[in-house]
Amino acid sequence: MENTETECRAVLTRLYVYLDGEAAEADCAEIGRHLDRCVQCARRFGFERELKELVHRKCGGVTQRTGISDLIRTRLREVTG
Amino acid sequence: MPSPPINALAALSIREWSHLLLFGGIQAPAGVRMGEGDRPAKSRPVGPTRGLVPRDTVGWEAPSMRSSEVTQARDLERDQLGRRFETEALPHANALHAAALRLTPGAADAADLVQECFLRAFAGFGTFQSGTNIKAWLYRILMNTYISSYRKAVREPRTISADSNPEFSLYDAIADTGATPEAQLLDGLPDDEVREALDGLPEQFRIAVLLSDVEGFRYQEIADITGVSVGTVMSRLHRGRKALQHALWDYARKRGLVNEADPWKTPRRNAARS
Repeated sequence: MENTETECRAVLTRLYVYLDGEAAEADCAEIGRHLDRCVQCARRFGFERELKELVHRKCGGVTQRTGISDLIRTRLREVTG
Repeated sequence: MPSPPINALAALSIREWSHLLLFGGIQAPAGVRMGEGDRPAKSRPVGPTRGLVPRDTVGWEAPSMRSSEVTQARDLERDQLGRRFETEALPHANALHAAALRLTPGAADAADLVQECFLRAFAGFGTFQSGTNIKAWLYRILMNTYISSYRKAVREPRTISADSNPEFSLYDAIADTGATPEAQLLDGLPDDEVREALDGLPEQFRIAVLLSDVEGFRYQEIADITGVSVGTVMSRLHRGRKALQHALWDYARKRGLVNEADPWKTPRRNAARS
């Protein structure tokens, strides 16, 4: 009989590495299998993944028009003629 | 609106770098004087002029290169480089500006930082290989520029709770109030509060979270950008995320997005913790 609590603990210590896509292939497969059959860990993983995405959305700047590109072009023209 | 002038000495250095780039390091012989009236007022330098001589059009060249063929070749090279820079580097400007705002506290400083970053990037662009990781290359320049020119004394975290518990789990904190933890709950926080929470982190944690979660860099890229080992990146990222979660928990409580419940008193439902 497997000790799921130990298994959960083992998965959770590697959760961030897995979330970041940095886990080795074997680890990836093992963690993925655990998340498929452990609802609690799957929920926790889902939360962490969505939280990461939320931070990305709210703190990123790709869509903001700040006019910085024009400022940079002006500075480059000043310096290089 | 023009940004405040960056440090004049730094401005001179960047101009020199650009000339090293554009003219292959050739300089006028000592004693050749610069025409004072030809330089636009805004960019008049402080300090030694290095004897560069103005051309008829705006720009500078060393007198030994006056032959028109050489001038034309240099112009063409510079235009091509400029166009490549425009296509490959400039699209990252907005993202780098947002990142700069997480590094320096003032908007004017952040705008300055990004501009100086791109000037340095342009100066070194001749040696940059097309098709390699330009985003990481630009962020490395941003970090180096920040550290050398803009970083004041290491900032203290603005929120007292930052890093107070390196194993804090927002998931567990919410679960312990009896609610189902859903990250969408934090959509109730305005963007600038989430940014504030990030800005309140100790610098090394903030940079790790910024580069990983906001900018999407991999561990090795973050290691290259910040000059530390992958292990250090992982440690800072882990602790940074925990500290951010603790800060977000405080904001969420203040806004009433979660019930006031003491996570340390409520018994845990399962033993495993992230």
